[in-house]
Amino acid sequence: MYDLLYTNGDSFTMGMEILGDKDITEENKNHAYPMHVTDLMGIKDHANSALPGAPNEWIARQTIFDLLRYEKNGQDLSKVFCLVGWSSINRLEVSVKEDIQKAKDLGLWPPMGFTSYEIDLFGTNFINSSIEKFILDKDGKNIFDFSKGAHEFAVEYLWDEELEHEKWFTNIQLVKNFFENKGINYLMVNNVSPWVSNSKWRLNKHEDLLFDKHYYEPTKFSFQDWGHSRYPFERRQESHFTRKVHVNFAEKILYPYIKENLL
Amino acid sequence: MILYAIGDNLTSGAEILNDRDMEESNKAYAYPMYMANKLKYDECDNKAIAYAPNEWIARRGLLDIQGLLDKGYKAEDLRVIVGWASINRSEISIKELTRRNPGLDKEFQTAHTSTEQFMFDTMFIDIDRTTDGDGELALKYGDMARDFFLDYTWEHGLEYEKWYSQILFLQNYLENNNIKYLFHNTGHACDVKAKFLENNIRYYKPEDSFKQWAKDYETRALGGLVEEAHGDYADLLLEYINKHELF
Repeated sequence: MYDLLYTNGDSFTMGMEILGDKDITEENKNHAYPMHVTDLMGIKDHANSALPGAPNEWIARQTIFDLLRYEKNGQDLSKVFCLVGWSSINRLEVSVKEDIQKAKDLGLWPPMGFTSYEIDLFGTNFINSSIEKFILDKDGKNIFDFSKGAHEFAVEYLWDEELEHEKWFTNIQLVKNFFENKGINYLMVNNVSPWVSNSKWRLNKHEDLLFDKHYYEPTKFSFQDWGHSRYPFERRQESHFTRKVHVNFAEKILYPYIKENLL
Repeated sequence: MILYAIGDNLTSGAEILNDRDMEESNKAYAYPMYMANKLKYDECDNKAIAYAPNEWIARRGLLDIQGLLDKGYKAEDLRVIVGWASINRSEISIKELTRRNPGLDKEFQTAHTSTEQFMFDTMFIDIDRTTDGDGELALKYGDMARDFFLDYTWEHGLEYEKWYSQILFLQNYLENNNIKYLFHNTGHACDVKAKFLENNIRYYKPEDSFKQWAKDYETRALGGLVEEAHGDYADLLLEYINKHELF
Protein backbone atom coordinates (compact mmCIF):
# COMPACT_ATOMS: atom_id res chain seq x y z
CA MET A 1 0.00 0.00 0.00
CA TYR A 2 2.82 2.44 0.87
CA ASP A 3 6.24 2.75 -0.78
CA LEU A 4 7.84 4.84 1.91
CA LEU A 5 7.49 5.88 5.53
CA TYR A 6 8.80 9.42 5.92
CA THR A 7 9.42 10.73 9.41
CA ASN A 8 10.66 13.94 10.97
CA GLY A 9 11.04 15.23 14.50
CA ASP A 10 13.64 15.85 17.17
CA SER A 11 16.06 13.65 19.11
CA PHE A 12 13.34 11.20 20.14
CA THR A 13 12.36 10.56 16.53
CA MET A 14 15.99 10.18 15.46
CA GLY A 15 16.59 7.70 18.30
CA MET A 16 19.30 9.71 20.03
CA GLU A 17 21.28 7.68 22.60
CA ILE A 18 19.81 4.30 21.63
CA LEU A 19 23.32 3.10 20.87
CA GLY A 20 24.86 4.62 23.98
CA ASP A 21 24.93 7.63 26.27
CA LYS A 22 25.19 10.91 24.31
CA ASP A 23 25.34 9.02 20.99
CA ILE A 24 23.76 11.12 18.22
CA THR A 25 25.04 9.21 15.19
CA GLU A 26 22.73 8.54 12.25
CA GLU A 27 22.99 4.82 13.01
CA ASN A 28 20.54 5.36 15.91
CA LYS A 29 17.80 5.94 13.35
CA ASN A 30 17.87 2.25 12.41
CA HIS A 31 16.61 1.43 15.91
CA ALA A 32 14.26 4.36 16.56
CA TYR A 33 10.47 4.03 16.79
CA PRO A 34 9.76 5.16 13.20
CA MET A 35 11.87 2.27 11.87
CA HIS A 36 9.87 -0.23 13.93
CA VAL A 37 6.59 1.30 12.72
CA THR A 38 7.90 0.99 9.15
CA ASP A 39 8.57 -2.71 9.70
CA LEU A 40 5.26 -3.34 11.44
CA MET A 41 3.39 -1.67 8.56
CA GLY A 42 5.33 -3.74 6.04
CA ILE A 43 6.67 -0.66 4.26
CA LYS A 44 9.79 -1.26 2.21
CA ASP A 45 11.54 2.11 2.43
CA HIS A 46 12.12 4.49 5.28
CA ALA A 47 13.44 8.07 5.46
CA ASN A 48 14.13 9.75 8.78
CA SER A 49 15.02 13.47 8.62
CA ALA A 50 14.84 14.06 12.38
CA LEU A 51 17.62 15.94 14.14
CA PRO A 52 18.44 16.35 17.84
CA GLY A 53 17.24 19.67 19.25
CA ALA A 54 15.04 20.43 16.25
CA PRO A 55 12.46 23.18 16.79
CA ASN A 56 8.91 22.62 15.55
CA GLU A 57 9.29 25.36 12.96
CA TRP A 58 12.21 23.48 11.40
CA ILE A 59 10.38 20.14 11.58
CA ALA A 60 7.39 21.59 9.71
CA ARG A 61 9.45 23.39 7.09
CA GLN A 62 11.87 20.55 6.44
CA THR A 63 9.03 18.05 6.16
CA ILE A 64 7.23 19.91 3.41
CA PHE A 65 10.41 20.73 1.51
CA ASP A 66 11.59 17.09 1.73
CA LEU A 67 8.25 15.85 0.41
CA LEU A 68 8.15 18.42 -2.39
CA ARG A 69 11.60 17.19 -3.40
CA TYR A 70 10.37 13.58 -3.46
CA GLU A 71 7.40 14.64 -5.55
CA LYS A 72 9.67 16.47 -7.98
CA ASN A 73 11.72 13.28 -8.31
CA GLY A 74 8.63 11.30 -9.31
CA GLN A 75 7.45 9.91 -5.96
CA ASP A 76 3.68 9.49 -5.74
CA LEU A 77 3.03 11.21 -2.40
CA SER A 78 -0.17 9.28 -1.80
CA LYS A 79 2.09 6.25 -1.35
CA VAL A 80 4.08 7.89 1.41
CA PHE A 81 3.00 7.46 5.03
CA CYS A 82 4.25 10.28 7.27
CA LEU A 83 5.00 10.16 10.96
CA VAL A 84 5.73 13.49 12.65
CA GLY A 85 7.11 13.68 16.20
CA TRP A 86 6.52 17.20 17.52
CA SER A 87 9.15 18.63 19.78
CA SER A 88 8.75 21.02 22.71
CA ILE A 89 8.06 24.73 22.48
CA ASN A 90 10.91 27.11 23.40
CA ARG A 91 13.33 26.14 20.69
CA LEU A 92 14.77 28.38 18.01
CA GLU A 93 16.85 28.03 14.87
CA VAL A 94 19.46 30.73 14.28
CA SER A 95 21.97 31.22 11.50
CA VAL A 96 25.60 30.56 12.44
CA LYS A 97 27.22 31.11 9.05
CA GLU A 98 29.17 34.04 10.47
CA ASP A 99 30.20 31.97 13.51
CA ILE A 100 31.47 29.25 11.18
CA GLN A 101 33.46 31.82 9.23
CA LYS A 102 34.95 33.13 12.50
CA ALA A 103 35.88 29.58 13.51
CA LYS A 104 37.48 29.06 10.10
CA ASP A 105 39.43 32.32 10.45
CA LEU A 106 40.70 31.08 13.81
CA GLY A 107 41.73 27.75 12.28
CA LEU A 108 39.13 25.87 14.35
CA TRP A 109 37.15 24.41 11.45
CA PRO A 110 36.33 21.61 10.89
CA PRO A 111 36.18 20.87 14.61
CA MET A 112 37.38 17.55 15.97
CA GLY A 113 34.55 15.28 17.02
CA PHE A 114 31.96 17.96 16.53
CA THR A 115 28.51 16.44 16.92
CA SER A 116 25.83 18.85 15.86
CA TYR A 117 24.36 18.07 12.48
CA GLU A 118 22.41 21.23 11.73
CA ILE A 119 25.50 23.42 12.07
CA ASP A 120 27.31 21.29 9.54
CA LEU A 121 24.34 20.60 7.25
CA PHE A 122 22.56 23.94 7.16
CA GLY A 123 24.79 26.51 8.84
CA THR A 124 22.16 26.98 11.53
CA ASN A 125 22.06 26.20 15.24
CA PHE A 126 19.09 24.79 17.15
CA ILE A 127 18.80 26.59 20.46
CA ASN A 128 16.86 25.27 23.41
CA SER A 129 16.80 25.81 27.12
CA SER A 130 19.26 23.07 28.02
CA ILE A 131 21.88 22.71 25.29
CA GLU A 132 24.74 25.01 24.33
CA LYS A 133 27.19 24.22 21.57
CA PHE A 134 30.94 24.69 21.73
CA ILE A 135 34.12 23.78 20.01
CA LEU A 136 36.43 22.09 22.50
CA ASP A 137 40.20 21.83 22.30
CA LYS A 138 42.08 18.56 22.78
CA ASP A 139 41.99 19.03 26.56
CA GLY A 140 38.22 19.44 26.55
CA LYS A 141 38.41 23.18 27.14
CA ASN A 142 35.67 25.31 25.58
CA ILE A 143 37.37 27.51 22.99
CA PHE A 144 34.45 28.69 20.85
CA ASP A 145 30.75 29.30 21.65
CA PHE A 146 28.10 29.17 18.96
CA SER A 147 25.28 31.71 19.15
CA LYS A 148 26.54 33.32 22.32
CA GLY A 149 23.75 35.24 24.01
CA ALA A 150 21.03 33.87 21.73
CA HIS A 151 19.56 31.67 24.42
CA GLU A 152 19.22 34.58 26.85
CA PHE A 153 17.54 36.69 24.17
CA ALA A 154 15.07 33.94 23.33
CA VAL A 155 14.14 33.46 26.99
CA GLU A 156 13.63 37.17 27.47
CA TYR A 157 11.84 38.15 24.26
CA LEU A 158 10.60 35.15 22.31
CA TRP A 159 9.59 32.25 24.47
CA ASP A 160 6.27 33.47 25.80
CA GLU A 161 4.06 30.43 26.35
CA GLU A 162 1.00 31.75 24.51
CA LEU A 163 3.01 33.03 21.55
CA GLU A 164 4.98 29.79 21.38
CA HIS A 165 1.77 27.77 21.32
CA GLU A 166 0.38 29.96 18.53
CA LYS A 167 3.52 29.29 16.55
CA TRP A 168 3.40 25.56 17.26
CA PHE A 169 -0.27 25.54 16.25
CA THR A 170 0.70 27.21 12.97
CA ASN A 171 3.40 24.63 12.33
CA ILE A 172 0.98 21.78 12.98
CA GLN A 173 -1.50 23.40 10.60
CA LEU A 174 1.21 23.94 8.01
CA VAL A 175 2.06 20.26 7.89
CA LYS A 176 -1.51 19.03 8.28
CA ASN A 177 -2.83 21.15 5.41
CA PHE A 178 0.10 20.18 3.22
CA PHE A 179 -0.52 16.47 3.87
CA GLU A 180 -4.23 16.81 3.21
CA ASN A 181 -3.68 18.82 0.05
CA LYS A 182 -1.30 16.18 -1.29
CA GLY A 183 -3.45 13.20 -0.25
CA ILE A 184 -0.86 11.97 2.25
CA ASN A 185 -1.87 9.68 5.13
CA TYR A 186 -0.12 10.58 8.38
CA LEU A 187 0.14 10.44 12.14
CA MET A 188 1.39 13.14 14.47
CA VAL A 189 2.55 12.49 18.01
CA ASN A 190 4.09 14.58 20.78
CA ASN A 191 7.65 13.64 21.59
CA VAL A 192 8.33 15.89 24.54
CA SER A 193 5.18 17.26 26.12
CA PRO A 194 1.43 17.27 25.53
CA TRP A 195 -0.35 20.25 23.99
CA VAL A 196 -1.35 22.73 26.72
CA SER A 197 -4.80 24.27 26.55
CA ASN A 198 -5.52 27.57 28.24
CA SER A 199 -8.99 29.07 28.15
CA LYS A 200 -7.52 32.60 28.31
CA TRP A 201 -5.47 32.24 25.14
CA ARG A 202 -6.64 33.69 21.84
CA LEU A 203 -5.93 30.34 20.25
CA ASN A 204 -8.33 28.45 22.48
CA LYS A 205 -11.36 28.68 20.21
CA HIS A 206 -9.48 27.18 17.25
CA GLU A 207 -7.92 24.22 19.00
CA ASP A 208 -10.45 21.77 17.61
CA LEU A 209 -8.60 22.14 14.29
CA LEU A 210 -5.77 20.13 15.84
CA PHE A 211 -7.67 17.31 17.36
CA ASP A 212 -8.58 14.63 14.90
CA LYS A 213 -7.61 11.03 14.40
CA HIS A 214 -4.30 11.99 12.75
CA TYR A 215 -2.92 13.36 16.04
CA TYR A 216 -2.36 10.78 18.78
CA GLU A 217 -3.88 12.05 22.05
CA PRO A 218 -2.51 15.61 21.65
CA THR A 219 -3.49 16.93 25.07
CA LYS A 220 -2.66 13.84 27.11
CA PHE A 221 0.33 12.06 25.65
CA SER A 222 4.02 12.50 24.97
CA PHE A 223 6.59 9.81 24.20
CA GLN A 224 8.91 11.27 26.83
CA ASP A 225 6.31 11.20 29.62
CA TRP A 226 5.13 7.73 28.63
CA GLY A 227 8.66 6.36 28.48
CA HIS A 228 9.77 7.96 31.71
CA SER A 229 6.82 6.63 33.67
CA ARG A 230 6.90 3.10 32.25
CA TYR A 231 10.59 2.53 31.71
CA PRO A 232 12.43 4.64 34.31
CA PHE A 233 15.46 2.36 34.15
CA GLU A 234 15.75 2.46 30.36
CA ARG A 235 16.93 6.07 30.26
CA ARG A 236 20.25 7.33 28.98
CA GLN A 237 22.44 10.08 30.34
CA GLU A 238 20.59 12.84 28.45
CA SER A 239 17.12 11.43 29.21
CA HIS A 240 16.57 9.61 25.93
CA PHE A 241 15.58 5.96 25.75
CA THR A 242 17.10 2.61 24.97
CA ARG A 243 15.99 0.51 22.00
CA LYS A 244 13.52 -1.45 24.13
CA VAL A 245 11.42 1.66 24.80
CA HIS A 246 11.35 2.59 21.10
CA VAL A 247 10.30 -0.95 20.13
CA ASN A 248 7.52 -0.97 22.71
CA PHE A 249 6.34 2.51 21.71
CA ALA A 250 5.99 1.34 18.12
CA GLU A 251 4.46 -2.05 18.98
CA LYS A 252 2.14 -1.09 21.82
CA ILE A 253 1.10 2.44 20.98
CA LEU A 254 1.73 3.65 17.46
CA TYR A 255 1.16 0.62 15.25
CA PRO A 256 -2.09 -0.53 16.93
CA TYR A 257 -3.38 3.05 16.70
CA ILE A 258 -2.44 3.40 13.03
CA LYS A 259 -3.96 0.00 12.20
CA GLU A 260 -7.21 0.79 13.93
CA ASN A 261 -7.65 4.42 12.89
CA LEU A 262 -5.65 5.25 9.78
CA LEU A 263 -5.43 2.19 7.54
CA MET B 1 -19.68 38.45 0.03
CA ILE B 2 -16.69 39.48 2.14
CA LEU B 3 -13.10 40.30 1.16
CA TYR B 4 -10.61 39.50 3.90
CA ALA B 5 -7.18 41.14 3.54
CA ILE B 6 -3.97 40.70 5.46
CA GLY B 7 -0.46 42.05 5.03
CA ASP B 8 1.78 44.89 6.16
CA ASN B 9 1.83 48.70 5.76
CA LEU B 10 1.12 48.61 2.05
CA THR B 11 -1.99 46.48 2.59
CA SER B 12 -3.10 48.56 5.57
CA GLY B 13 -2.74 51.70 3.45
CA ALA B 14 -0.36 53.32 5.94
CA GLU B 15 0.28 57.02 5.18
CA ILE B 16 -2.38 57.34 2.48
CA LEU B 17 -3.97 60.15 4.46
CA ASN B 18 -0.74 61.86 5.46
CA ASP B 19 2.97 61.41 5.95
CA ARG B 20 3.61 59.17 9.00
CA ASP B 21 -0.11 58.56 9.48
CA MET B 22 -0.55 54.92 10.42
CA GLU B 23 -4.12 55.20 11.68
CA GLU B 24 -6.70 52.53 10.91
CA SER B 25 -8.67 55.13 8.94
CA ASN B 26 -6.16 54.74 6.08
CA LYS B 27 -7.66 51.32 5.38
CA ALA B 28 -10.74 52.95 3.87
CA TYR B 29 -8.52 54.12 0.97
CA ALA B 30 -6.19 51.14 0.60
CA TYR B 31 -6.24 48.77 -2.39
CA PRO B 32 -8.30 46.03 -0.65
CA MET B 33 -11.14 48.48 -0.05
CA TYR B 34 -10.98 49.62 -3.69
CA MET B 35 -11.23 46.00 -4.77
CA ALA B 36 -14.15 45.23 -2.46
CA ASN B 37 -16.01 48.28 -3.74
CA LYS B 38 -15.45 47.47 -7.39
CA LEU B 39 -16.43 43.87 -6.82
CA LYS B 40 -19.55 45.17 -5.03
CA TYR B 41 -18.84 43.03 -1.98
CA ASP B 42 -20.72 43.71 1.26
CA GLU B 43 -17.64 43.87 3.48
CA CYS B 44 -13.90 44.42 3.42
CA ASP B 45 -12.19 43.07 6.54
CA ASN B 46 -8.66 44.44 6.36
CA LYS B 47 -6.54 43.09 9.22
CA ALA B 48 -3.15 44.23 7.91
CA ILE B 49 -0.70 45.85 10.34
CA ALA B 50 2.34 47.97 9.50
CA TYR B 51 5.67 46.11 9.58
CA ALA B 52 4.00 42.70 9.96
CA PRO B 53 6.35 39.77 9.37
CA ASN B 54 5.26 37.00 7.01
CA GLU B 55 5.15 34.47 9.84
CA TRP B 56 2.55 36.65 11.57
CA ILE B 57 0.64 37.22 8.32
CA ALA B 58 0.28 33.47 7.74
CA ARG B 59 -0.58 32.68 11.36
CA ARG B 60 -2.98 35.58 11.87
CA GLY B 61 -4.52 34.96 8.45
CA LEU B 62 -5.42 31.39 9.32
CA LEU B 63 -6.81 32.30 12.74
CA ASP B 64 -8.88 35.22 11.37
CA ILE B 65 -10.26 33.23 8.45
CA GLN B 66 -11.10 30.33 10.72
CA GLY B 67 -12.79 32.87 13.00
CA LEU B 68 -14.93 34.07 10.08
CA LEU B 69 -15.89 30.49 9.20
CA ASP B 70 -16.73 29.82 12.86
CA LYS B 71 -18.92 32.93 12.87
CA GLY B 72 -20.99 31.41 10.10
CA TYR B 73 -19.48 32.90 6.96
CA LYS B 74 -19.48 30.31 4.20
CA ALA B 75 -16.27 29.52 2.33
CA GLU B 76 -17.99 30.29 -1.00
CA ASP B 77 -18.85 33.80 0.25
CA LEU B 78 -15.32 34.55 1.35
CA ARG B 79 -12.47 35.89 -0.77
CA VAL B 80 -8.96 36.41 0.57
CA ILE B 81 -6.18 38.73 -0.51
CA VAL B 82 -2.74 38.35 1.04
CA GLY B 83 -0.01 40.94 0.58
CA TRP B 84 3.20 39.12 1.50
CA ALA B 85 5.66 41.40 3.24
CA SER B 86 9.42 41.77 3.18
CA ILE B 87 11.80 39.25 4.66
CA ASN B 88 13.96 40.37 7.62
CA ARG B 89 11.12 41.00 10.00
CA SER B 90 10.37 39.29 13.31
CA GLU B 91 8.05 39.46 16.28
CA ILE B 92 9.01 39.58 19.96
CA SER B 93 6.85 39.17 23.05
CA ILE B 94 6.54 42.22 25.32
CA LYS B 95 4.05 40.67 27.72
CA GLU B 96 6.65 40.10 30.43
CA LEU B 97 8.40 43.43 29.76
CA THR B 98 5.23 45.47 30.20
CA ARG B 99 4.41 43.51 33.36
CA ARG B 100 7.85 44.33 34.74
CA ASN B 101 7.45 48.03 33.86
CA PRO B 102 4.04 48.93 35.31
CA GLY B 103 2.60 52.29 34.36
CA LEU B 104 4.97 52.68 31.42
CA ASP B 105 2.66 51.37 28.69
CA LYS B 106 3.03 54.64 26.80
CA GLU B 107 6.76 54.06 26.47
CA PHE B 108 6.11 50.75 24.72
CA GLN B 109 3.93 52.41 22.11
CA THR B 110 5.22 52.96 18.62
CA ALA B 111 4.36 55.90 16.41
CA HIS B 112 1.29 54.25 14.95
CA THR B 113 -1.89 53.14 16.65
CA SER B 114 -3.88 49.91 16.45
CA THR B 115 -0.71 47.97 16.63
CA GLU B 116 0.37 44.56 17.71
CA GLN B 117 1.35 45.96 21.10
CA PHE B 118 -2.27 46.56 22.05
CA MET B 119 -3.76 43.51 20.41
CA PHE B 120 -1.21 40.76 20.91
CA ASP B 121 1.38 41.95 23.48
CA THR B 122 4.08 41.61 20.86
CA MET B 123 6.25 44.01 18.89
CA PHE B 124 7.20 43.71 15.23
CA ILE B 125 10.88 44.22 14.46
CA ASP B 126 11.88 45.33 10.99
CA ILE B 127 15.34 45.75 9.53
CA ASP B 128 14.49 49.19 8.12
CA ARG B 129 11.80 50.36 10.51
CA THR B 130 11.73 54.08 11.09
CA THR B 131 11.43 54.55 14.81
CA ASP B 132 10.66 58.27 14.77
CA GLY B 133 7.94 58.86 17.39
CA ASP B 134 8.31 55.54 19.18
CA GLY B 135 8.27 55.45 22.98
CA GLU B 136 11.55 55.14 24.87
CA LEU B 137 11.11 51.50 25.83
CA ALA B 138 9.86 50.56 22.36
CA LEU B 139 13.06 52.09 20.99
CA LYS B 140 15.29 50.42 23.57
CA TYR B 141 13.91 46.91 23.16
CA GLY B 142 13.34 47.35 19.45
CA ASP B 143 17.01 48.22 18.88
CA MET B 144 18.18 45.34 21.05
CA ALA B 145 15.97 42.89 19.17
CA ARG B 146 17.02 44.25 15.77
CA ASP B 147 20.66 43.70 16.67
CA PHE B 148 19.91 40.13 17.72
CA PHE B 149 17.96 39.28 14.58
CA LEU B 150 20.62 40.87 12.39
CA ASP B 151 23.26 38.72 14.06
CA TYR B 152 21.34 35.47 14.19
CA THR B 153 18.25 35.05 12.08
CA TRP B 154 18.02 37.45 9.15
CA GLU B 155 20.16 35.36 6.85
CA HIS B 156 19.00 35.49 3.24
CA GLY B 157 18.67 31.74 2.56
CA LEU B 158 17.04 30.97 5.88
CA GLU B 159 14.61 33.87 5.58
CA TYR B 160 13.48 32.72 2.14
CA GLU B 161 13.00 29.14 3.33
CA LYS B 162 10.84 30.41 6.16
CA TRP B 163 8.86 32.76 3.94
CA TYR B 164 8.15 30.10 1.33
CA SER B 165 6.97 27.66 3.96
CA GLN B 166 4.51 30.33 5.17
CA ILE B 167 3.23 30.82 1.63
CA LEU B 168 2.72 27.08 1.23
CA PHE B 169 1.06 26.94 4.61
CA LEU B 170 -1.63 29.49 3.82
CA GLN B 171 -2.04 28.24 0.26
CA ASN B 172 -2.75 24.69 1.42
CA TYR B 173 -5.09 25.86 4.15
CA LEU B 174 -7.13 28.01 1.74
CA GLU B 175 -7.27 25.33 -0.95
CA ASN B 176 -8.26 22.62 1.54
CA ASN B 177 -11.11 24.85 2.69
CA ASN B 178 -12.18 25.74 -0.89
CA ILE B 179 -11.58 29.43 -0.29
CA LYS B 180 -10.74 31.58 -3.30
CA TYR B 181 -7.71 33.80 -2.82
CA LEU B 182 -5.04 35.93 -4.41
CA PHE B 183 -1.46 36.27 -3.17
CA HIS B 184 0.87 39.07 -4.19
CA ASN B 185 3.98 40.74 -2.85
CA THR B 186 3.97 44.16 -1.26
CA GLY B 187 7.59 44.90 -0.26
CA HIS B 188 9.75 42.97 -2.69
CA ALA B 189 9.73 40.18 -5.24
CA CYS B 190 10.26 36.49 -4.57
CA ASP B 191 13.90 36.65 -5.61
CA VAL B 192 14.58 32.96 -5.05
CA LYS B 193 12.93 30.91 -7.80
CA ALA B 194 10.63 28.09 -6.74
CA LYS B 195 8.43 25.86 -8.88
CA PHE B 196 5.45 26.02 -6.53
CA LEU B 197 5.30 29.78 -6.99
CA GLU B 198 5.42 29.64 -10.78
CA ASN B 199 2.74 26.94 -10.85
CA ASN B 200 0.26 28.86 -8.73
CA ILE B 201 -1.99 31.05 -10.87
CA ARG B 202 -3.34 32.57 -7.66
CA TYR B 203 0.03 34.21 -6.97
CA TYR B 204 0.06 37.50 -8.87
CA LYS B 205 3.49 38.07 -10.41
CA PRO B 206 5.79 36.58 -7.74
CA GLU B 207 8.66 38.22 -9.60
CA ASP B 208 7.22 41.68 -8.87
CA SER B 209 5.80 43.64 -5.92
CA PHE B 210 3.39 46.49 -5.25
CA LYS B 211 6.29 48.71 -4.19
CA GLN B 212 8.36 48.00 -7.30
CA TRP B 213 5.35 48.46 -9.56
CA ALA B 214 4.55 51.81 -7.92
CA LYS B 215 8.05 53.26 -8.21
CA ASP B 216 6.83 56.21 -10.30
CA TYR B 217 4.10 57.19 -7.86
CA GLU B 218 4.56 59.67 -5.03
CA THR B 219 6.02 58.06 -1.91
CA ARG B 220 5.22 59.20 1.62
CA ALA B 221 7.77 60.00 4.35
CA LEU B 222 8.00 56.43 5.67
CA GLY B 223 7.69 54.71 2.29
CA GLY B 224 3.89 54.47 2.11
CA LEU B 225 2.07 55.04 -1.16
CA VAL B 226 -0.55 57.63 -2.07
CA GLU B 227 -4.20 56.77 -2.72
CA GLU B 228 -3.81 56.99 -6.50
CA ALA B 229 -1.27 54.16 -6.44
CA HIS B 230 -3.62 52.03 -4.32
CA GLY B 231 -6.53 52.66 -6.70
CA ASP B 232 -4.54 51.85 -9.83
CA TYR B 233 -3.01 48.76 -8.24
CA ALA B 234 -6.47 47.53 -7.24
CA ASP B 235 -7.50 47.84 -10.91
CA LEU B 236 -4.49 45.80 -11.95
CA LEU B 237 -5.25 43.02 -9.47
CA LEU B 238 -8.92 43.01 -10.49
CA GLU B 239 -8.00 42.76 -14.16
CA TYR B 240 -5.83 39.73 -13.33
CA ILE B 241 -8.56 38.19 -11.17
CA ASN B 242 -11.15 38.61 -13.90
CA LYS B 243 -8.87 37.39 -16.67
CA HIS B 244 -8.20 34.14 -14.82
CA GLU B 245 -11.66 33.92 -13.22
CA LEU B 246 -10.10 33.64 -9.78
CA PHE B 247 -12.94 35.10 -7.70
